[in-house]
Amino acid sequence: MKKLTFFILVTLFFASKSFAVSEWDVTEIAGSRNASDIDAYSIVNAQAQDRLLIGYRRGMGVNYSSASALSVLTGEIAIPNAAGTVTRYRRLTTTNAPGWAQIDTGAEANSTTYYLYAVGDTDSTEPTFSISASSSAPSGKTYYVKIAQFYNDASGNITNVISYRPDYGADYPDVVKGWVNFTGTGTVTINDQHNVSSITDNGTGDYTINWSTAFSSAYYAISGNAAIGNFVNISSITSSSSRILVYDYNGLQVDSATITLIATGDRI
Amino acid sequence: MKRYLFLFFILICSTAYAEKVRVFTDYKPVRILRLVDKGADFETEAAKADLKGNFKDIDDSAIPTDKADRDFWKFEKGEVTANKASKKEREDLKTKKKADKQSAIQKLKAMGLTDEELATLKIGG
Repeated sequence: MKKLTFFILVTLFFASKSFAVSEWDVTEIAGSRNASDIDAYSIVNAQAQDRLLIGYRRGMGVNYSSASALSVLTGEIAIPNAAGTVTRYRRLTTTNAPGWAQIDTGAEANSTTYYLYAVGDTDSTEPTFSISASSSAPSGKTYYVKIAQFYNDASGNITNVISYRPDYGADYPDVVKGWVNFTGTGTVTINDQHNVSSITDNGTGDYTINWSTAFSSAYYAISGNAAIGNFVNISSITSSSSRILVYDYNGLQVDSATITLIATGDRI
Repeated sequence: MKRYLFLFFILICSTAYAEKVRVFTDYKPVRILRLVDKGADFETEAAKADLKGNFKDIDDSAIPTDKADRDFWKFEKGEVTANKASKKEREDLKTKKKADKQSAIQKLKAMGLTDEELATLKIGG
């Protein structure tokens, strides 16, 4: 009898479900479970869900609004604490305009890169926001996610707003890797750019654009435009630079008031 | 004395913040490299653009803003100027080419070609 009892107990032990930590089980918590197992099954399923959603962000793109404010679009976001043990979910239902009133500590500094964080410290359905010079954490906050950065220029104006996105990475093939808008007449002047480290004026209608981060080879694509009646042609391409020539409709090289160039291709 | 000190500081400050460009002087016309990225340096950027040879770093303000003679720019005596001799040589060549073209057209017409026939050869004007 003792042997039978022992055998039954051992069978039950190995027949009972182990509490796996790597899955969400839609059949649990089954009504047949013992009360003592409820906590374990709840935790396993919650952990699986948390693993999926801890970095969630939909929408909440950040744009430039004014020289002293940003614009955060609607969306949802998961905001964990630093240890990742607790995650707060927040939903932004109307566009928000964080500004310098949301700076975490100290005063606004010129010629400084700042970071925008979505914050979940306040017990509400919507996130608040914090601007910090720290790229790792805003001062005094527990629940935060960095969602954008910008540059406060020498005049105290917000510029170069970059909204972080859950993406394939900056090296994904269909992402534009570089662009430039410059003036070719008079003093060659860059009006705006991304990933351009320098420009060379080689002569009339002859320019070389150097990329800050090079492509993996010379086999990337560029497309250019110039002012009415002018055409951009490729002179030569290397992994780190693109040389273009600008012609008019008579086939003569000319300096154009506005020249734009876009480049996309592989960087890895 | 205070006035002279003030003017001195103004002079120093104005030159301190002038943007520098690198002029590669061996090319005809000279090539001018301008940095865009704050972290960029002339040596690295020159290598990217395959710029070689002698160079001078000068203030951007010393580069002419009128680019009418851009194809004749040279670096001489510390500044970028137009090479007038090269410009005249190019203009003389253009004038000669134009005259040669007209001469050839006249000779072809003398051989009996009509204006329409010359047009089919994309000759004329």
